[in-house]
Amino acid sequence: MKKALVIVLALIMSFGVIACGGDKDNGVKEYTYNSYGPATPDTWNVHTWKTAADSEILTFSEMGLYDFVLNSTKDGYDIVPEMAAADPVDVTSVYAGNSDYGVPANAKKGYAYKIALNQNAVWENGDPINADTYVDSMKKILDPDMLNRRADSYYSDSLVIANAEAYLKQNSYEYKTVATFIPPVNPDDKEDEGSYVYADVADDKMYLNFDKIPPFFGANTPREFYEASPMYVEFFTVDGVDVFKKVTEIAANSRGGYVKLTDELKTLIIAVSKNFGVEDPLSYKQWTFYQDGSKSSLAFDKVGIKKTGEYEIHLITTKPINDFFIRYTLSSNWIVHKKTYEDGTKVVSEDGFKRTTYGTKKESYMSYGPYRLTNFQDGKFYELKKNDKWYGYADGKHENQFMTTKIVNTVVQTDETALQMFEKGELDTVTLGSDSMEKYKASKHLYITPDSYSASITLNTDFNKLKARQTEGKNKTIMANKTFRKGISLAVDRKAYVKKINPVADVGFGLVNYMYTADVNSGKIYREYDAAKEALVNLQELEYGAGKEYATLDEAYKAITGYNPTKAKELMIQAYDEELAAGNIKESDIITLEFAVYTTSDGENGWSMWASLFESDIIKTLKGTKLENKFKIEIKGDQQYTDTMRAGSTDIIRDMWGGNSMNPFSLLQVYLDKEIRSNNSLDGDTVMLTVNINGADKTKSLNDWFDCLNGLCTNGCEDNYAEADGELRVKILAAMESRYLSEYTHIPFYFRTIASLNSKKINEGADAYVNLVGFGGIRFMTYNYTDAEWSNFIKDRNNLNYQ
Amino acid sequence: MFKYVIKRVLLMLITLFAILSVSFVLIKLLPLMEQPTVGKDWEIILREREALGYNKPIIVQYGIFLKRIFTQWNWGIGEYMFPTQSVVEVFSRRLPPTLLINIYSLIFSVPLGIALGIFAALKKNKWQDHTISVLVVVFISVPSFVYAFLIQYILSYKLGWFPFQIKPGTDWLSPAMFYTMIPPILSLSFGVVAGLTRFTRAELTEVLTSDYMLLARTKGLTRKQATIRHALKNAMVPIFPMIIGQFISIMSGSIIIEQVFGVPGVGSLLIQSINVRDYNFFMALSAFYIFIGLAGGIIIDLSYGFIDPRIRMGEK
Repeated sequence: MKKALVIVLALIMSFGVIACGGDKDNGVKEYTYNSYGPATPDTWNVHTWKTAADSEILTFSEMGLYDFVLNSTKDGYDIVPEMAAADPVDVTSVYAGNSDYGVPANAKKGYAYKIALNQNAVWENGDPINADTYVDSMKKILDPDMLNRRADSYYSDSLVIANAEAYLKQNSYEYKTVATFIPPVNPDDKEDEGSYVYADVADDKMYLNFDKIPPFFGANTPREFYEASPMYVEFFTVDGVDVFKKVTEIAANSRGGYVKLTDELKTLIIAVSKNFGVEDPLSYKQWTFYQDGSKSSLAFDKVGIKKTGEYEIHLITTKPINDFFIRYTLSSNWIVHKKTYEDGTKVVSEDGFKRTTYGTKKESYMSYGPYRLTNFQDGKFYELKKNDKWYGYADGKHENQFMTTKIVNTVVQTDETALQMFEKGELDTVTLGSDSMEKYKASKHLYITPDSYSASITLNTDFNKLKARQTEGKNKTIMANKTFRKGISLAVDRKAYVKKINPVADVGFGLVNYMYTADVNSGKIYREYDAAKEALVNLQELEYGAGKEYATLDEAYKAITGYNPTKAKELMIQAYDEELAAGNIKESDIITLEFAVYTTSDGENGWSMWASLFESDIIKTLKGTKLENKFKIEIKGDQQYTDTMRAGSTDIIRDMWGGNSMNPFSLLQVYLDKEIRSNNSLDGDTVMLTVNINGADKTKSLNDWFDCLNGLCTNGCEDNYAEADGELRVKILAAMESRYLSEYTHIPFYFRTIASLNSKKINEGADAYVNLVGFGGIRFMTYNYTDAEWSNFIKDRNNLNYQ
Repeated sequence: MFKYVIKRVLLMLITLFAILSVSFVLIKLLPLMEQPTVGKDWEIILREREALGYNKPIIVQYGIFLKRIFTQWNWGIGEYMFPTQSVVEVFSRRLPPTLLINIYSLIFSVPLGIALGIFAALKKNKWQDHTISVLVVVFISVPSFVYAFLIQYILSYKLGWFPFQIKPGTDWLSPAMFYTMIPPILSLSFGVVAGLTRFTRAELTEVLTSDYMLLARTKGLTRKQATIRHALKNAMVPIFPMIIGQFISIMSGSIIIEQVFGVPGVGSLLIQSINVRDYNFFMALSAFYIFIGLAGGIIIDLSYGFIDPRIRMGEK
C-alpha cells in the first residue's frame, strides 16, 4: 500500500515538474507582461468589437494614425503621428462648395484634411498598408449589408465623414404618412374643417410611430401630447390599457421606432381617436405611416474618403472638426487585412446580411502594431509577441519604448484568485476590490486610475406616477416635493459611502467629474474652472468673500461635504408639514420608497449595500423627529432598473454615467436626452435657465442651452456656442449643471476610480495618472527583472509582500 | 422491452419539442440587454436585428429555426457570443475540459465513496462509522465552491504544490494537463464522495440486517463472503443508477469550479447566452441539456433491468 502511494505521489510530482517547466533564459532578454481579465474577447475585429475585453488585443496589435503618448516630463501628453507620416493638413479650400460632400462654399477650415500615410507600415505577413487599404477598409466598415457596430464612429460623434451614414443606411426604407390633410378651401368657412386623403396601403402594411408627427395631430407627436398633461394620458387609455405605453414599449425594440399596425392596435387607435373627439372609423389612417420603397443607393465614391496618392488620403467631413479632435478620433484605426477579412465573410441571413470571422481566431486576423497575436484560446488566454515587421522598431522614433517582449493575458474570473496569483508573482497587475484596498492602501505599488463615471442616485419625482403606485398607509408622493429631496441630498454621508463601496473613489457633488478636460489645448480640467467650482459652491449654499464663512472660492469649494444632517432634518420635516397641509400624506403614513437595484446580492458593486446605506442615513437623520420610524426603503432586484425608472415604475435607482472625457459639453446629453436618460421626471424642455452672456441675460430651456453649446441649434435656438470662447462655454455648462442639480432629481455621490497594484517586476511610465495616456501604457513600461531573473526572484520567496 | 424503449424515446422527443418551443418563445420575450447610449447609433442595432429576422412574428422565427435544424442540421452561428462561429463548433471545443474534469472526479470519487460507505456500514455504530458520518454531513452541507477556494488557497497559494489554474492549451490528455487539473478534480469530488458514502452506507446497512443475510451466514458463509456475494450485489441496485445520474450531470459542468480554476469549459455558456440574448447559443445549448436530461432518465430507468434481471420495464 505504502509502495503504491509512493508511486502515485512520484507520478504526480513528475507531472508537476513537466507542467512547471517554463522557458529557459537562452541569452535573449525576455520581458513578459502577465495580465488577466474576466474573459477572452469574443471578437477583436475593429469594425465590430463591443466590450472592453474585445478591445484589449487591438491596443497591442494595431495602431492609430495618431497616438497620444506621455510627454517628456511625464505629466501630460503629446500627439504623435504613427500610421500617419505627418500631422493632418487642412485642405478645406479644395472641397469648399463641393455639393457631393456637402461642404459649404464659405467653409474656411475644419472640413477636409490631407493625411500622409506611413510608408513603412505593413501587416505582420509583410503585405503593404497604403491608401487603398484605408479606402477599402472604410468601404467595409460602412458596408450596408454588414451593419458594423463601429461604423457610427465615423458619423455620430466628432468626426462626421461626408455621406458615411447615408452610405451605410442606403438600403433602409423611407416612411411616409398614410393620410394627407387637405386644408379647407376657404379658411373663413367654419363648416369646412378640411379633409383627409389616404394612400392606397393595406392595413397590415401600416406602421405607428409615436415620436413622429402624424396628420392626426398636425404639428405635434403623440408623445408630446401624452406627456403634456394627465388629461391626454386619459385620452390614450382605452379600457384600462395605456395605448401610448403599449406602442412605445414595442417601438423600443423596433427599427426606427416603427410599430406594425395589428388588428388590436387598430381598434385601440380608433378608440383613442374617439377620446380625442374624432368618430371617423378610418381615423387610424391619420396616425399611420407606410414604407415607401428604398432610399436611393449611393456610390462609395460619394463618401468623404479619397485616395489622393499611393500613400495619401483625404478625409472630408460635413461637420467641421478641429486639429485636436481630428487627431483624437484618428487615434483609433479602421483598417483590416483585405484578404483575411473577405475570406471570412459570409451571408448569414435570408436577406443577404453578412458577417465576417475576422478577428475571432488567431488564424482569421492580421496584426500591424507593435505586437502580433501569436496564440489565442477562447475562455483561457491570449498571447502577443513583438511584431518584427512593425516599423517602429527600426525608425528611430521609438527609442526606449516597447521594452515588453511578450504579453500574456489569462482569464481569471475571481478577485481572490487574481490577488493570490499576483502575490505569487504570476500576474504583474491586479485590480483591488474594497476589501483588499484596506490592506494595500499604503503600498508604494498602488496605482489609482480615475475614470469618467460619476455614481449617483436618481429619484422619481413625478407626483402622478408616485401616487399611482402608493398603497394605503404607504406614502411615496413626498418625493415630488423638492424640499424633501434636497433634505435627502444633505442627509447622505458620501464619505462613509465611498469608504464602504469604493475606498479609492472621490466623493462627488457634480454631474461632471475630475476627468473632463474643457480646454484640449491647455489640458485644463473642467472642474478646475472657477465657474465650475462656483456652480457647486452655490448649490451647497456656501458663502465666500470678505466677512463670509470662507475667504475664497477655493476654500469654500474644498469645504464641500454635501453632508448636513441638521439642515437635512429641517428640510425633510418642512416638506412633510407642507405635504400634510396639502393633504398629500396622512400622519399615519409610512414613507415607503422602492430602491430598484440590478441584483439584491452584494457583489463587487454592492448594489443592495447602496440601498441599505442610503436607508440608514435617512433613518439616522430623522431620529427624534416626528418622522422617526416613518421612513422605509424596500430593495427590489430588477435587471431592467433604468427602464423601470424611465417608466416611473420605481422610486429610486443607482446611476453611473460617463462619457468622452475630452468633451464635457456633451455629457449632459445622458441626463437630458429622452431616449437615454434614466429619469423622465425632469423635462429639459421646460426647466428654464438664465445665463448672462456678455452682459445680456439670456433665458432658454436646458435642452436649448445644450443644443446651443454643442452646435445642434435648430428651431428656436439662434445662438451657437460650439465654437465660442472656452471660458464662456464652461460658464454655460456650469450654469446648466447647477440648474439641473438644483431640481434634486439626481443626486451625485462619488466619482469612480479604480485601484490596482503593479508587481515589483514592472514600472509604469508615469507615477501619476495622465488624462488620455494613463500611466504610459505598454509603450513606456519598463522592467526591473528579465523573465529568468523574476522566476528566480519569486522562487526564493513564498509570497511577495506588497503592503 | 423494445416496445417500451420505443415508447419512451418517442415521449422524450415530444417532451423535448415542447420544452424547446416554450424556451424559444420565452427567450424571445425577454427585453433587449442593450440600451441606447450616447454616441452610439441605436438604429444600427435595430437594423441588425431586423436583418437577422428578429422582427418577424415569433411563430415565423420558430418555423425558420426548425426548418434550419431539420433540413440542414444547422444550429446557427454565434450572434453576440463568438460572433460568426458555429454554435456546435464552439460547444464541441469547450466540452472536453468539462467532461475530463468531471470524469476524473468520478473515477476518483466513485470507488472512494462506495468503499467508505461499505466500511461505515460494516462498522455501524462504531467510532469509525460516526467519524465518517460526521464528515459526510460536513462535506454534503458545504457547497463545492467553498472547497474550491479552500483547496486553491491551501494547495496553490500556501503550499505552492499546484498551479492556480489549469494550464493553457488543448492537450487535454497530457500528464501536465492532468497535474494542473487535480485541484478542480478534488473540489468536485468531495460532494460526490460524501453523497455516495452516505447512500452506500444506508443501503448496505439495510441489506446487512435482512433475513437472507442471516440465512447466508447460517448456511456457513463467512461475513466477508456474505457481504460481497449477497449484500453488496443487492445494495448496488439503487446505487448504480445514482452513479449513472452523476455521470450524466457532468455534461453541464460546474460554473463556479470552472471559474475558480480557469477551466475553459461549457459551464457558463448557457447563462451567458441568456444574459446577452444570443438566441442561437441558447437554443442549441438548451436542446443539448434537455436532451441529456431526458435521455439520462431513460438510461437510468433501463439500467435497473440490467443490474437486476428481476426488474422488468413496461411489462404488464
